[in-house]
Amino acid sequence: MANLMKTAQTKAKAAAVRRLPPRWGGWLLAVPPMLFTLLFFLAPLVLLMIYSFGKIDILTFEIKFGWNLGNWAALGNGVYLSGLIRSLVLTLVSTVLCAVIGFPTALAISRASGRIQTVLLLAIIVPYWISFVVRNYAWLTLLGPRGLVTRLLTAVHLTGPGQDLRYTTGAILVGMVSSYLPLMILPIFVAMERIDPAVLDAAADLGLTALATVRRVILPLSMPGFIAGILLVGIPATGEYTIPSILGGGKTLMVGNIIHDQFLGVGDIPVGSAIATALMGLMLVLLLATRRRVRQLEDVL
Amino acid sequence: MSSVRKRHSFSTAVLAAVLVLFYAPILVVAVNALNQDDTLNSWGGGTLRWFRQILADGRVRGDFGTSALIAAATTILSVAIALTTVLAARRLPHGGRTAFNMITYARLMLPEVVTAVGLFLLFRRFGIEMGLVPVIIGHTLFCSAYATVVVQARYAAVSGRFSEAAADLGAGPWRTFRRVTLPLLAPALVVAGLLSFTFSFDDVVSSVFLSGSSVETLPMLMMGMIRQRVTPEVNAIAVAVMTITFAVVALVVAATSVRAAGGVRSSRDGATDDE
Amino acid sequence: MTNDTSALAKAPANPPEPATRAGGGAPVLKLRSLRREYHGAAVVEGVDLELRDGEFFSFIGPSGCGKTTTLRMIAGLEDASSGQILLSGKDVTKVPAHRRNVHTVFQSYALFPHLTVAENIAFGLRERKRPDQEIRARVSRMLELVELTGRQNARPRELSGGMQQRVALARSLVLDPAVLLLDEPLGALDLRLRRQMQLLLKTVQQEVGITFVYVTHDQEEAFSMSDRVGVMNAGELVQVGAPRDVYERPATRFVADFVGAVNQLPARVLGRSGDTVEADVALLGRVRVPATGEIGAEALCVVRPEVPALGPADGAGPGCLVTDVSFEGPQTSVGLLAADGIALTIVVPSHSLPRDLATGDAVTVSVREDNLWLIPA
Repeated sequence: MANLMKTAQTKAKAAAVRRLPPRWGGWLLAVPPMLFTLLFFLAPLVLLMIYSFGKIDILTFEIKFGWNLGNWAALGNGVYLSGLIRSLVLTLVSTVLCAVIGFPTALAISRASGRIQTVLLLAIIVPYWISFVVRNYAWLTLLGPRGLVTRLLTAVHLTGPGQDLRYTTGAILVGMVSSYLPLMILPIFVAMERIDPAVLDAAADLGLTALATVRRVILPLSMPGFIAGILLVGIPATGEYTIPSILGGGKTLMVGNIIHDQFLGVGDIPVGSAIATALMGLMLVLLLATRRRVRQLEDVL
Repeated sequence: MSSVRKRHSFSTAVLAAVLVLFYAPILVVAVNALNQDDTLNSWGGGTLRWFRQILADGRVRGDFGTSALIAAATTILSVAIALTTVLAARRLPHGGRTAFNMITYARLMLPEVVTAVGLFLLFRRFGIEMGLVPVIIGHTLFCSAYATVVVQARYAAVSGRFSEAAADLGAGPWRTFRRVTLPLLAPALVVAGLLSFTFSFDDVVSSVFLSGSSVETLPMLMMGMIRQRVTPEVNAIAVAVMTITFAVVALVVAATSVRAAGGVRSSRDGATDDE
Repeated sequence: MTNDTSALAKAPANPPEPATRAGGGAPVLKLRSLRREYHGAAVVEGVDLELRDGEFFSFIGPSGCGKTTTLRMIAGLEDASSGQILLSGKDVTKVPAHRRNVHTVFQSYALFPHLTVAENIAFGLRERKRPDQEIRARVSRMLELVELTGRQNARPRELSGGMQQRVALARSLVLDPAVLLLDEPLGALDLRLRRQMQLLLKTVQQEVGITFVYVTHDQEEAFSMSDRVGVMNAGELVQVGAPRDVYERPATRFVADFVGAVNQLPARVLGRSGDTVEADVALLGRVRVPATGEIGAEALCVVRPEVPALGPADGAGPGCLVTDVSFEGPQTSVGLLAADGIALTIVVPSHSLPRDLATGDAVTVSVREDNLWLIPA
């Protein structure tokens, strides 16, 4: 009996991994992408870490390498630290907003059927294909003193007349949410589609109202989608550069802008590298923490 | 039963609000591109003046060409990398395949500033001047990741038993690829190419860091114009780019199937009533 | 290989010609000590088999027994860890799948979705660079054979499961393989369709005269279609023989269980003479029974359910109490409890039973000695 079980198990494992015979020179095919990734993805990241320990000479702009922790200490400095914290808070709020708005949206789409659903999906995806610059520039127009949104908000007495809503934290938030929302909606939608309709029938059969079904069945079962969405939104949003540039005006508001200034502005590259490495580290921690869920991410994507 | 209707109407309302959130800015841009009033504070009557202006502007035309060139190169590279990655991953042992996947997702999710800045350091270190090629490489980094995901999804749904059947019927590895795998992958390759082109064309971060002084892309130009003052030409450029994007997407959607363009679900054509 | 497809003129089968069935001559397929390992564990072990040209052979066994793996090794879709595969006398063990003259009908059909029915069937012929005219002729003959004329321009997704099945069959058959492999091809079909397809497969095989190697877990299906069957268990080929032989003379307890011989009475061997053994069987007493070679002192006497006859309480033979009566249509399954707590399940034609037979009735059972069989304990 045990023998039978064992052979069944090995067979199942084998079937799951059934891959083509290696004599097709698969290793040869792997070389170009591996080379590219090694050279242009991994090597730069390593370089960043090395530079973060370097020190720049203000006079000669030469960089000396060594185990200089000065840059890292500088991160604790008020200027950088407040920028970093503001960035993270903004990202967190944006991500949460995306999740809160994204869930009912995905729900509504999954309830639609056939052609309407396809149209809705396209309607959600298409704006993502339009450049960030264009979309967020449009918000500038809408949020200016005479902008449509400003006028609307004045009409409902949420702000005073002629208020310039551009270049504020709120403007950046609006830009972030409207830009990143599709990336949250889609994974949640995919996760919802995976739910066996029979489960929903069972919930109704057991006496759950529609609202309770959403809260106790659909929401938990969409978790893989949420995780995917949070990763897809939260991580890139932390390093966002374009949106704060446009909607934050000239002021340096987020990490992306700080790094930009260090590299192309002030020129203190080691500090910039330290900040970038810190960002990278944060992302890695997040990724590792959700490592088990990454496999679900694969399904969802 | 009324609770069901209530829930329905709430989520539907949110959906409607979201659609407004997405499309209101776009509509405003489109309308303003035709707006006579150059302070854009009110409607001054319709005009094509801004379009004529950008068409006449050599800098705009030049940057458009540059962006298109970069995007084309990026697309070719990205699709090639995606194809080789997907084909190779299938033949690797489990550990290798996981590594490939992790690196693909890392490229998707790491903030673009980090990868761009890293590349900046890399090129500086080896004395390579910033310009066209560094930008293309920067774009390819993340575009190829998107392309890989799209092709991977289709490949998983499509290969395996078909390549076995082809081998069983006498087709060697190359013949199988040409006659079975490639045709079945084609829709995904098209979508991957579209995605790469669009993302590359619209890219800001990598372009800013890696273009140096000699190269300027259209998004960079637009960013500069926005910073200086509100100018209606930006609207015209935006509308022009949007129209081209829509036209291309519409073409592709018409040619393949609507679901393939969405890229969300794996295509079910050819599914047999199987296991 | 001279299985000329020009012999396939019309779809309806002609009565099978004895010469094409289990034709004589050299074995067309020979497996020698075939073995397949995964991560150190053997999934197929020590398989030896010889198949004759024109034979219909089935591998049967429970899930995970290795029958599909064996089939895939013959096809070349999986490598053998050790052992040999000889096709028409040639060693093809190291030859890749696309260069072997065997073709497979897959469980999921694996029809190419981007090609029409005709293009699917023509796939292998195009690979061999056959001239267009020849391809067209052979494809239309195949379509006739599998009764799909007129569907050549349809796409697979437009066809029902049964039709896709037939296209898959045609696609492999048109290439004149030395051996045709079928991996549980009828699994996805409903009962009625399955019976139809079984008939079609058998008919086609006899017309075309090619060796079929069939894999299924459905013992009835295998028995009804095959010239010989091979029972596999945990990677080993346990018994090979004509369906009737395997059924009436299982070699081991496993095979007996698998073919449904549920009654196995303990027996003590008293002596042998030639092909029969004298044994003391529980409930039945001393009997002279046919037996397989390797019987020790203790054995099991296999009493197939249909063997015992039911008699009235005062009849000849040991007495039993009825524990269960299950009417199944043409036959009825009766559970019996005898002395010493021995339980038997027998199956009898329904019409031969008294209508009022009920649980608790006393009856007697009688058997004929030569319908019994002894297996190792």
